[in-house]
Amino acid sequence: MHEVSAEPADGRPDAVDWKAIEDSPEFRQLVASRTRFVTAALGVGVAATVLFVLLGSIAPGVMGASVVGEITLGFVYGVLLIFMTWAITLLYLRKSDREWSPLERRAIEAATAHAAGDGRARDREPVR
Amino acid sequence: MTVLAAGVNTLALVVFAAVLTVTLVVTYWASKRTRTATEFWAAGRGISGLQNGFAVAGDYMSAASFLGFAGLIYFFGLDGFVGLVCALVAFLPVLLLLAERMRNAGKFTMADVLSFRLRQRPARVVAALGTMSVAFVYLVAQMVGAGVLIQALAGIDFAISVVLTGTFMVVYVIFGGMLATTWVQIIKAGMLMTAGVVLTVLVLAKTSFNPMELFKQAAAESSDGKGYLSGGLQHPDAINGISFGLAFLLGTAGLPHILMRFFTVPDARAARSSVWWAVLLIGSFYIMIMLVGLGARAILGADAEEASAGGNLAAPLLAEELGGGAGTVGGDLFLAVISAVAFATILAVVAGLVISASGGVAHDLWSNVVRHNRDSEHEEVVVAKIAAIVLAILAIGVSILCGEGFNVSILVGLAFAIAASANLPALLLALFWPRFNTVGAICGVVGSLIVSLVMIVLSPAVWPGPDSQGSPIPLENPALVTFPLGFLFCWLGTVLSRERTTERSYHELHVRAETGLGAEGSGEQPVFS
Repeated sequence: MHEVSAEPADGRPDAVDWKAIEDSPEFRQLVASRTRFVTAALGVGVAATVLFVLLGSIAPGVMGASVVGEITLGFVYGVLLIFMTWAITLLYLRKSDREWSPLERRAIEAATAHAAGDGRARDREPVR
Repeated sequence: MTVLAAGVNTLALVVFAAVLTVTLVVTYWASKRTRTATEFWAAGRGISGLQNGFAVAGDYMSAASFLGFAGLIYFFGLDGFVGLVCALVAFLPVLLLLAERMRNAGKFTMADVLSFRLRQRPARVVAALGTMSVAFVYLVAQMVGAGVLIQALAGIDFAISVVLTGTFMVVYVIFGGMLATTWVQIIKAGMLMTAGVVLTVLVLAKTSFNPMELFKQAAAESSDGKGYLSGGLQHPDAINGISFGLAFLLGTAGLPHILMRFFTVPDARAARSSVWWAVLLIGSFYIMIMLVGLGARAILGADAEEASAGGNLAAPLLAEELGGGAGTVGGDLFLAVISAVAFATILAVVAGLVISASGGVAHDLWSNVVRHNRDSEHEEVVVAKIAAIVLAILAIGVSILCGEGFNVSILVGLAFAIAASANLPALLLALFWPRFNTVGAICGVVGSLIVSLVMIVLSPAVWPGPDSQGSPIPLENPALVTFPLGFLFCWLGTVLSRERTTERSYHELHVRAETGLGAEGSGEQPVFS
């Protein structure tokens, strides 16, 4: 169990010690894991889309390349980006349910056990 | 295509009236269930993920998606599709950065999150300013769309059409609050998807269900030939195409009426799943719009360019042609139905915009700034209703005075640009940068709002007339400049001010946003009982 600081971080005597929760291993693991996914997913998604916009504006030769018959690369690329958005969203939902939600619960449990033992935050913060 | 603007079209009026009747019944039903502030703003937090997904889709797929983008694809081929794709990928930042964190840390409005740990009064004033600016520009864009559409299809004068739209929008919001608005969105999303599927199937049927044939015919009917499928037509200057795409990619995450939807669900899990349903619906619809836009080109050819009013009427004209052509029973009926769907689309979007803007006035400005949180929630709802009426009158006035002649998606693009530069940087920094402070928020929102507005007024889309030559600023959409500027202003304001003390700590916001600890509950009375 992590340490209780004498003064709550925001100076209100009856407040939850947010800093202590923030420093707890459960919370750190949650944020680190989710940040890794978000950074990667956002990086890939935005980069692929910006490239799409750039090529669409400056490289008609590339976007006009034929993929199947009269269907050009531009339209195929765009539809693939729509599929990509679906895939990233589903992946995020799956990881949320399997990895991050349990971590959220553990972080909250650790925090409330901590606060109850501390006798400060029992009634103030409703917990799911 | 002689039906257009040739006197009052009775069939279209009957279908419009049927749509309005359904929405009014929903509003009456919702009004019985909307008393408290939580019910008014957040539908009692009793909307499920699936329902909210439909409602987000309903809020998002505006007249710009259905009419504007179909028209842009009809005119410019690939360029129109680029904007659509950006508008869908835009949900990734919403999902990955904002949806759950907003739900966890906020109450009714975007300002709740922005001002969480800043000085309440100034932070809420600027947040309300950002919300209202975006909502207002977007509102005018939609009202113009409604006016043009109803005038062309039902034969009612532009000004009267705008007034009618504004009146119904206010009725939904005042009497039914967020619950009525949500269900109007859900119904509209269902209607829009159905219309999209029917149009797409008919277009594909015309080209013997062979997409290659559709692309071939579309290119053959375009004066640009193969260039129609290669891009670079809409914006001869590449920089304009890039800025336009960027506005749609980043603006969504700053749209107050979309972000507000995440307060209507019971928890973060429902917030996530509503994004999934929304992107599924919107993405499918955009693929259909791509085919409809190409179909309009392939089937109507260049002949309809004149009649399509800047492209906005390409989809309804296509429906008329697919139904059997002008003057036939099938053609008239299909035109009327598609027009009614477009009309319902606009009504739902403007209702969502008005409820978010009235939230900015009543919840953020009135309750938290003027009254210091001292008064009852009842008063907040009363103020919201007054604000909704005033906003509607202003939007109606501006739309009638200077709206006609603008392409709806160009106007919507401007609203997205303001959302991307005034709202998004401040919101992201409030959530993710511990040092961010009140001065930074004020500089960011006000600074980029002013720069955006100046650049918009001096842009070719507005100055000296709609879509004209000779404006001082060549950039059609300012997002490329104003989005980075938004971050710069936020950063400058923060590092140049000495402010250190904040009302609540970043630690609190961080923990609550990430875990949902202490999130606003779903209230005592379940809405769907």
